[in-house]
Amino acid sequence: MTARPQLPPLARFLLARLAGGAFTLLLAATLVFLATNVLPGDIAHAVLGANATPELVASVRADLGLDEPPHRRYLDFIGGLLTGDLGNSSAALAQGNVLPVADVIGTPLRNTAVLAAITFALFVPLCLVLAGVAASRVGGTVDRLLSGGTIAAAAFPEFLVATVLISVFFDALDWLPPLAAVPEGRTPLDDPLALVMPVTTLLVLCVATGFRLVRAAAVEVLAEPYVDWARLNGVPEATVLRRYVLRNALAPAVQAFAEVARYLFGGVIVVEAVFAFPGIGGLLVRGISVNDVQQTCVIATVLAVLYWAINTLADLAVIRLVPRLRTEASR
Amino acid sequence: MTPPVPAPFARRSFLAGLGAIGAGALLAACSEGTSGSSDAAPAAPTPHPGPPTTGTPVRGGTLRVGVLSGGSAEVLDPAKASAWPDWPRIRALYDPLFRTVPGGIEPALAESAEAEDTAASWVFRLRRGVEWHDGRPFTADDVLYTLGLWAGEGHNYGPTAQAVIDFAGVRKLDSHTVRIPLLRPMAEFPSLTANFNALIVQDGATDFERPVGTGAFAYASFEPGRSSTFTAHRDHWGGEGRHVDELVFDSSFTDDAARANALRSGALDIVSDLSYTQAAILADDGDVVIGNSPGMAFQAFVMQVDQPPFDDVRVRQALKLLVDRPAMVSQTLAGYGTVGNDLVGKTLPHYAEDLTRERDVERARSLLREAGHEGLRLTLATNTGRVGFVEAATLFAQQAAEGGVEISVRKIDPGQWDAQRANEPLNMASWAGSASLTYFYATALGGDARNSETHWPAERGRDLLADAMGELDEAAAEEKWRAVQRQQFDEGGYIVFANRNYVDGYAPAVRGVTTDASGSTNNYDYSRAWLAS
Repeated sequence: MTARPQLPPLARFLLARLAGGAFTLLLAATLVFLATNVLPGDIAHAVLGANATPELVASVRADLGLDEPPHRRYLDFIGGLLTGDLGNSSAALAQGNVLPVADVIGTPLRNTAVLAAITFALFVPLCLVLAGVAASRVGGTVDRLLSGGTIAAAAFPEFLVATVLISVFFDALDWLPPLAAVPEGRTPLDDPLALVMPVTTLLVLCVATGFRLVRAAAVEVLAEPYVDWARLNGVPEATVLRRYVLRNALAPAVQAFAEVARYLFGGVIVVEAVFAFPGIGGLLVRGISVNDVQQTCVIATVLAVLYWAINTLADLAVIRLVPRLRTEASR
Repeated sequence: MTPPVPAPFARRSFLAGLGAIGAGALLAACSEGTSGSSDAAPAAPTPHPGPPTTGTPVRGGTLRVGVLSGGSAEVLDPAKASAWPDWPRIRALYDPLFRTVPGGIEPALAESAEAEDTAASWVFRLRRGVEWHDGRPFTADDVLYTLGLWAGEGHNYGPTAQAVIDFAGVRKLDSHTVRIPLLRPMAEFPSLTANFNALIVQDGATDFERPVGTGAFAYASFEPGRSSTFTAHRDHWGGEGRHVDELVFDSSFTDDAARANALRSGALDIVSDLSYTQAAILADDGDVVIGNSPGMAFQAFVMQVDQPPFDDVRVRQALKLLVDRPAMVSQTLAGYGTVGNDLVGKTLPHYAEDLTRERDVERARSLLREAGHEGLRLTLATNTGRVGFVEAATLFAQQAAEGGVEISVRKIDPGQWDAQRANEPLNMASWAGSASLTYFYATALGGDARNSETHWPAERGRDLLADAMGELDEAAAEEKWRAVQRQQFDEGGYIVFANRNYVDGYAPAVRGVTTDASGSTNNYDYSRAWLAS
């Protein structure tokens, strides 16, 4: 008896996720298209403003293909996405200019990715250390301080944290610039000092969210019998924490990290605006404010792709971390 | 019609609800009791031109101006300009025939304009020795070409021009003289050429991605929604200018607080059209200079006079009497303004200063009773993207309630505003940048006015208006304009509750630019700017 050539379980998992992902993304793109096309008002009015005569509006709408039936436009949009043609900014087109969305979103997407990566790279170790410290001293002063502090911090809106940071580190101390604008042709990394406050603002909120989830997981693991066994067997405390507690608490922690990663890509609109950081969130807001249908649809779809990628990566990480799931994934 | 420059967009934002103006309005409203007076208002900010006007100009440096983003819709073409950051950019690249100055206009590319007999035809004598950025001389052909664009399709100034100019009769008299006949006499016609969409472009120009102008600054680079860099046009006819080497517009800002912080940190030299919230904050900052000037810019509630219940003049009069104007100024403009009296054009020639209106709730009640509209319920549409609009609508709802009128406020997003407000019998408006009463009345109330926000009927007062617009004699014009304004004051659909000031922020080194009645930062004229060391 010969077995059919069998893919490794992980590959099969990935394939399944890709198939599911493709369906999810199609759904997301469809919803985004519907939402932006159903909104009252249109790009022609938004761009022409007080100058909109019925004739001008009609000619702009024709230029934009808005006089085509909706199903036609939908197929064009989805077809474009599938073939990698992201189309042209509707707002620019309405003004008679051709501005490919691919050109518009490149730099902001990179900038947001840089900001997100730096924040995430600092967030993970910081969160693990703080949660580990708090969990190993449950109910102690340090734990209560950290828990109380993060609950309070989680309640602060981003702009409040940002404003407080600006008034301390710019107004009072004048150590840091209050904005993180990135000049043409430069990258955010060219001026690291300018990134300090945006990254700190994001860190405060990320740690506030992540800390509680990771701490709770660690506390649970610490109460497991195998941890007691390890200790009773004389395994050094540092090794207990690293090998038994951290390893087992990581699986739930990864989901918390994924949530933070999603936030860092899609939810940083406020932080970008406050520090004038040229990222994808600000671009999304500007597009929506002038009913730039194509740009808005593309950015939203790109964000959906990123969310899906983050979720898949997180699931993969969990499978790696929890041996039991590795075999389940192959069933 | 062409915009007068639209009002600045407020940072429609997460922050708006907590903005100082909003919070201030709430607090004041709470502490006010029933008198509706503005006793609790903070001291009004005093008008001030901003940067010092003395010193010997120094050449060199880069002037960096921060504007709120218009996104991918930003352009450098005067025909298409409509986003907020477009105005200062095209004004730097191009020149108008006449430019706006406090209280009126002065010659720019035109040296003079003379009315022929009844002001139904005008002869423009053009400035000689003016060079385009590419070195070609400026001549009458450039003006004829630009006028041809106005006469065509798709030019934002077209509708205004086409209602006024008799294009078939436009003639070049010589290389620097052009005759422009009008469809009807207009004594203040040159003021209409000060409009930003009416800037003069080069004969044959079709490429506005690399524009060639006569302006004080020449194109170097441009990224819509991000920034542009222009270099000094050393041969600019203005002569006195050309002090800075470079002019940079940063239009990447989506938040006004971030823009103000950029000024405070030295990353910007000028922030034009500062929100009043930020102005109030910056006023306490010793490292920043605030310019603050009254002008013709106004804030108004708009009643469509052909829609019930506003088709009854008594209802219109009653609503005008219900507004507490001083409270509006102090609470929705943070004091950066003066009370409006339902007329447009404060600081402009022929404005009727003596027509003023005070709150009279009892009179309003009796007018409504007479009209059979006791317990009137209305919906007021407001634009969440405009400075002070939502606050004003909310406050008016409270004030009107004291007269028995129940107003519910409908908030509309800026992207939907222009499409939806036409269907709202009671909405809001804000204009800036008119250089004459003729400009405003011809475009907003004239018979073929496309921007007839109040739906003022073409035949009502048409003769009054035509009479006033065509009058060349100053004293007679004053009388006739008074009659036009008297009619609007008594019967019109505008409730102009405030005139809002132009407010700008400057770095301490900025010279040669001030805030005056012509508009924000000298109506965006940076040709004389220089930086003190």
